Amino acid sequence: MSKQILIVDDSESIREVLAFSIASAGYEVLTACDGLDALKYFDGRPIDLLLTDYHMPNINGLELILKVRQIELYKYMPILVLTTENQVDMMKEARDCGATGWLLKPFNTEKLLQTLRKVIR
Amino acid sequence: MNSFVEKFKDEVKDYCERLESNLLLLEHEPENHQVIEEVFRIMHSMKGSGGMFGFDLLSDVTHDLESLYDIFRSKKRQIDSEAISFTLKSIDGLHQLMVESPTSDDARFAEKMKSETRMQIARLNAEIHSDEQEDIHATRNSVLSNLNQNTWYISFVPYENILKNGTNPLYLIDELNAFGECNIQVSFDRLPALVAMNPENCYVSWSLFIATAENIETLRDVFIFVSDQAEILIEKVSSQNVLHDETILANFLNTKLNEEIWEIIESEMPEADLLQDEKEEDTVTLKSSVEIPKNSAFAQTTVDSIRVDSKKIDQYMNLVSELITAQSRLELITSMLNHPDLELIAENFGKLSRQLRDNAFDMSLIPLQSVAVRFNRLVHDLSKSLEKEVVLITEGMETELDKNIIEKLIEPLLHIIRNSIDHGIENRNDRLIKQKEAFGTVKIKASTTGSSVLIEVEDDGAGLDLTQIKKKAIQKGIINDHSNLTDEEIARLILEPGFTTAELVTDVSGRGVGMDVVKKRIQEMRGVIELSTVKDRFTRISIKLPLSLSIIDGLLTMVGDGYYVIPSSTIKKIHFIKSKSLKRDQLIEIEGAEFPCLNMHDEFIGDGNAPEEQLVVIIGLDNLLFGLVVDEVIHEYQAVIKPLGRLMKGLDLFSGASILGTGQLALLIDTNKVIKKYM
Repeated sequence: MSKQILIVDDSESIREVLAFSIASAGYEVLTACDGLDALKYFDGRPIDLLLTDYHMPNINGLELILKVRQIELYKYMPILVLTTENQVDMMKEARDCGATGWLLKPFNTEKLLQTLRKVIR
Repeated sequence: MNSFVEKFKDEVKDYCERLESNLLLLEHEPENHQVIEEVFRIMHSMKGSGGMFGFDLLSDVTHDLESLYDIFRSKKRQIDSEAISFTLKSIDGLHQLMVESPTSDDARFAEKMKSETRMQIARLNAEIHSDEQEDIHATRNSVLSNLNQNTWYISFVPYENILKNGTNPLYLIDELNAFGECNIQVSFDRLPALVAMNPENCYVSWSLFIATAENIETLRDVFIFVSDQAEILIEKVSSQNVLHDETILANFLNTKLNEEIWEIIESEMPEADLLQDEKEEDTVTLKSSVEIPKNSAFAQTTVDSIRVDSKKIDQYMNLVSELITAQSRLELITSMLNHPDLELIAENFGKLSRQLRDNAFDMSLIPLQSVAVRFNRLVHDLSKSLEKEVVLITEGMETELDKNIIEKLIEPLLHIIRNSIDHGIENRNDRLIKQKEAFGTVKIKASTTGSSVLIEVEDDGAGLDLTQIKKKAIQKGIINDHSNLTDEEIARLILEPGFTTAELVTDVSGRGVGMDVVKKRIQEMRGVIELSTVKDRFTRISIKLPLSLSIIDGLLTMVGDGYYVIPSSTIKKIHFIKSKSLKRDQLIEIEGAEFPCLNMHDEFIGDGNAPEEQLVVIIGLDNLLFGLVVDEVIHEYQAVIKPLGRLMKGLDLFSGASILGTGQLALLIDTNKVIKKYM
């Protein structure tokens, strides 16, 4: 069974381009438009990677990570945060919340898949 | 891709509208932090998406705008009307920048917007770190040249908690492996004993040599996500591929090792000084010396315990018991040979084997804690199914017992707890009527007293209904109508076979195999069970057990030509006695106390040739005294108890046998059964 990746971003365009690239690489893709929307997927189904934006309405990326990490099943699921800032404190904050790593925007498909391979095989 | 771009354009329009409305809101509520956040978020999204879809100018401009709003967002400054009008003006400009192939005019326009924004930022006295970003790009490009293969040494020591963030360290090693030829070593140095191991931790570390054309930046990038969760060392070994030159690699490792040792020595030296003249050192030095990190590779992890297969412990115990047997044989033969040198050795050997025995014995003890979870589970399940609120309190669960005893003890204890909750603790309403707490309490308390362990199970329920018990016992013919029993004796009736108090046999307890089985099990382990109860207050069941079953201190006695061992723990006194003054099953009077006795010579030999002078070994059990009359007391004896064979099971007075140094057999007297049979 191919790996399932959940993409969470409030920008439809980013969501679609991510979904397109990731699905082309042979992964299964789920999408959600914000943290709240994303939470519905954490219902016990296997999710192999969470790729989430940082700034989002309702529940933002960090809150989403905190919530998801509390669910036993997803305690060790890799989580990547989409971010533009090359800012140490923001990444540190994300890591403290339980993120595995980050993906810097802008990215090309190669960079995206290379980053994915750091945390998922 | 075009459909994405169209969608993005729509999004930007939407973003701009939202920006406008939010900015207008800010005019009136400059302190509304939520709105600032929203503005910042929108800018951020535009920047990210703009870059994604090739609208670099848009992305550039929004980047600066975002920096501007970061000042307000981080509350360094409050937003003012000048900033708001500037932003509104910029939004109009953003529409102009929505072009896929920008002209030089567009670029100039963007530059103008950017410089205006930066002026705003400068005006707001904030520092922008955009220069730093450019620097990073510059260095990246400059190192991109060397295509020759270099050999690198990489040491990757993840912190134990690295898995917590969902990182799989193996993937990183895989990633390195893909860069070129690798020589990977895994180190298990930090792996603790199984018992000390946290399955959620990572104890493994890696060191590797890699020959690759990639530069050090790329190698570092592999670890970008874990730089704060691991010790990472990347060092150049050579500018060629030297992976197959083992001397170079070995030399390199040796130098590394020396460096590490020096680091440790250096870091420990100040501490050593500190110990010598602590008072003269000032606090600053103290702090700095403590802060020097010790190299993890050399950090000693102390292991407090290891886990051993229980079969191995059994084997060990068995071997120790064989050794004790051999030792007593050696002692015997030595005493016959009368050889001083040999005696010395035998004595030393005896001492050592006794220490070994105590040590082995200690090792086979496990804490009650190991089974406490089963008590908790039972209480939880029962309180659910019986709809009674019950709290379990455990005390002294660290008390240690022979693991064989614990195994045999679980069922009886569970049965007692079951009874306590089912029969003892009342339902909520009854408890409230009795003005008790709504929830019942079951307390399990364990403690060590000398060579035995006391375990008490107490519930704060209704207590035993003594009238009902007596009625039942008469009905079942266990006692007769006129028996004059104390309350304690009546309570003990529930331990009799076939006695069950529950009016209705419930699923939980009261299937007829009740407390009598518990009592039997406890007695099989040479244990004693006691009951005490107060109506509507509590029922307490106390179990006293020996620490171990396999080796006991006993008194070796002789009756006829047979050997018998009496457990020392039960012996109160030993007296000489004239055999003529005894008749079978008579009462005997010693120091004013009268108690029954058993002449073992008459019982076991029955030839009427008992020696004139015999000894009575007085044993005590449950405040009762009983005399065992033997022909001869030989000496104290550490008996290694072996179970009786199948054919000997019928001998209900004995609970085991021990092999003497001479190879002869000594039978272990089961004092409980003797007293029960002859009293």
